[in-house]
Amino acid sequence: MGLSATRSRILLVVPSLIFVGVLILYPILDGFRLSLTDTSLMMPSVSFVGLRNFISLLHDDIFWLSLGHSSLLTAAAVILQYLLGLGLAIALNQRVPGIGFFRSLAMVTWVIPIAATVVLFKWMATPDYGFFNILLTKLGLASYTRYWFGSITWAMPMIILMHVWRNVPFYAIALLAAMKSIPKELYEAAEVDGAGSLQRFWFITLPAIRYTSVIMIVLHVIFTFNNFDFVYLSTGGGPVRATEVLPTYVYQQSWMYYALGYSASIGVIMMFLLIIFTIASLYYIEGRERS
Amino acid sequence: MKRSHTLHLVTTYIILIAYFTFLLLPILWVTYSSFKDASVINSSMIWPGFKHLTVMNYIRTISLADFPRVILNTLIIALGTTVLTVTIATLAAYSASRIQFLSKASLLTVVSSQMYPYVLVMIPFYMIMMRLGLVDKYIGIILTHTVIALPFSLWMLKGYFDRVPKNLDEAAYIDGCGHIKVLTRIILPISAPGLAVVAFFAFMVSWGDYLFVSILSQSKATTTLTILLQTFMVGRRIQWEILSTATVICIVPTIILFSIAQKWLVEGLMAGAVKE
Repeated sequence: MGLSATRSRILLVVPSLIFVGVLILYPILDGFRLSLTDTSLMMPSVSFVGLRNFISLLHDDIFWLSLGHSSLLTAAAVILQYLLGLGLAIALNQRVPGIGFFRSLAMVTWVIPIAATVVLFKWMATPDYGFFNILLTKLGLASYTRYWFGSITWAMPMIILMHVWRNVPFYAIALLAAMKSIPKELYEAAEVDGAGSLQRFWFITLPAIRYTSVIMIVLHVIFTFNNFDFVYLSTGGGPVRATEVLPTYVYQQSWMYYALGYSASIGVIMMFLLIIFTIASLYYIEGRERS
Repeated sequence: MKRSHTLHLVTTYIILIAYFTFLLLPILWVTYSSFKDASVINSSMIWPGFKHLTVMNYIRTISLADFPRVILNTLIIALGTTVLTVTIATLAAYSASRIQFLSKASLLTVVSSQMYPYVLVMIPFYMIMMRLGLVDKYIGIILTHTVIALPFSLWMLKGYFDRVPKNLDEAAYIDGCGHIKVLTRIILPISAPGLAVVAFFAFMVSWGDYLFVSILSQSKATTTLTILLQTFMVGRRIQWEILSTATVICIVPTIILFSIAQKWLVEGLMAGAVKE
């Protein structure tokens, strides 16, 4: 078999490779190319402008504002998700009757479409008859009721809340899987040595779930930083750009101002930042795992 | 010992109930609202009484002029994406799993494509589809969703295929089986859970997508449910009874499929992330 088998396997993969290659790599390469041009849907002529788009970005206040919001949103959402996810993982790791039911139900928030999630939260937070405001009124806190998504202060926390709500179970289930693969003997030995439950968590559980933790954090930093739907569908970047993030700014530049070249340059910056973050994280975890 | 056991049980349940109240309340609240009649949906009463519960909202929503068409569009696009993604991911993952140098290349492709800002690749997608005349066509949206779903699908399936011992397929070659036969008779049956997860994942990506459809769909011919939800949401006066009903209709299929795929979902999602 040897060579001929390999060759026919390659034949088998050719259609899929062409598809994967052309359709996955082409758009990203074309995105890079566009970022070096002044392509616009308003003008038929296109010329190469080198790094001019990137230089313009440096003086674009809204770009910096969006970058700040994106970073804040990503950091806040991922930190909260990780802590709450870890808590849920620990709870789901307890052997109590009915735990299987909770485990199987947990991921439900992750599977429903983001557009639907936005409706759920807009409905909970609607100004007059939303659940949040009804509840606050019933608790005698009527003065705290507000139009949550329309408030400059509260719109961003609402978006963070939606991100947290959707993804906490995914962290929990992944961390739970990592926790379950820890040999019980380790805990028993530590208990014999007189380690308390906090010490056992710190010295056995945490190191054992470090790899999964880093993978989950990297995946969600990428997801959150790139996510368009949550912000666009809930606030559209408002009120008065209080929740403007890079994806919504790119979308606006592309489809409202038709400045495709310029918006591609913002997209390239986003990707560049994510690549640096991902490489740094993987480098960190490889180093830690080896030592 | 007995007392601390009870304490542990009670604490665990309190924490679990707190978490699941947080996670389930928004879903339950919108479902409940979809059964309230229009006269009480905008009221601060939490329980308006049985006589205000109705299925009229569902009848009204389904009889909206565009609604059946939108459901059909969403379904066609999601099923098309599922079939195409599973087929291509199977072929590519099999090769990537069995050929050393493709294994590394596929990992690199997958990892880097996970970092794509979708708002960036959306522009070339639009331009390609415009050139091919596929804007506002099912096939243009299906192809786009397939590309979005493909990298992760490939990664998951490769994880499953890697676990099928290589000497199993070599034994089959010696017995005179071709590659397609090895794939369909040996590898796929063993990896059935992986296929189920990939199919589920691809369906979800397509069913829930808003961004790409918002650009590639330009008429009722290809409008999907998420777009419809958005148009309901930006109305001057939001009809919450219709919006919450449409939302439930959008969520229900995903929850049904989730309950079927749930058993293998986590394992599948982690298949690529598990350290060798």
